[in-house]
Amino acid sequence: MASKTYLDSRFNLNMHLPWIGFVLVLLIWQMRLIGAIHQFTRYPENLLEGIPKPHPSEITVSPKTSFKRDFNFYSTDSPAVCMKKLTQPASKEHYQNTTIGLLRGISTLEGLFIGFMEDSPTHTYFVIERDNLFSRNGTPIQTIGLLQPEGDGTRITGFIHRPKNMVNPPLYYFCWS
Amino acid sequence: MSPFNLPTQLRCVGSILLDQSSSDYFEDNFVKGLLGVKESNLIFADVYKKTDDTQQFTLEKDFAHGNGTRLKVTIVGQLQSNPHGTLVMTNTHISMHTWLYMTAFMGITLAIGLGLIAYGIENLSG
Repeated sequence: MASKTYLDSRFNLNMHLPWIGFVLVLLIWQMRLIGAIHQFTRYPENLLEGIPKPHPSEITVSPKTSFKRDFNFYSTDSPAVCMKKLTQPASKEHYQNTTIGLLRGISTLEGLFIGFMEDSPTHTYFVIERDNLFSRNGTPIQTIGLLQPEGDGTRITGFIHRPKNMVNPPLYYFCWS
Repeated sequence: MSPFNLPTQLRCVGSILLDQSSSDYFEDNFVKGLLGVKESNLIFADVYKKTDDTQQFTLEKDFAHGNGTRLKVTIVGQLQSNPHGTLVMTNTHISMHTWLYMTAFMGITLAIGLGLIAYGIENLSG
């Protein structure tokens, strides 16, 4: 049987572990809150001057993401008609800060925001995500796609995924700034 | 915050800011809620015209956890049209309640932490 050391008898660490844990939790909470407030104070500047966003073609999804589906299909409609079909039924145009940048897009009746970004005359990217302005709830699913003319129609490629920042932001997210 | 200039027109900047109102969409989780990760994403945005060349805006966010606590931080700013675009000036207001809440929390954390250290030193030094 192991004998008790001097340290064990004077200061029982196991007994105080919950208190130490409690203090750590409080410290983390405060760091997170201060980080979030600091980040918010820079919100107008970051929004209006634009934080550099990745190009849509550079966006990759982590293999650990709980949900991801790729799509690649052909439509006999022209890109302009495809865009028109995607934006119906629309209720209001507004700006939304999306993964690929600040876009002016359309709110649909389903609570989705659809924005387009013309990269070149033959490359039009689109984002479909939760409408921050009008949607009250809804699954945080995001679609990033590309419309490219092909023959007389359009090739539509991209992916649908569940972005991490739309569920629970990680702890470090609030502390980085 | 120092003022900054944008090449965008006043009306467009006002519209962008006004569209930032949003509802809460982060999911709740007990453990993360305990750590304070759950944050309300609710932002209140308002832009109103003061003169033809000036607009004032308010952005308000509540950093509370939805349990009746209110930790409001407000950014009040002014948009001023100039020949190069729009000059944006911002000022952040943290409510007295938020200051008190944070100070009290900091005090409690420090008190517990220092108490533990003092207790540890006293017992370890024999």
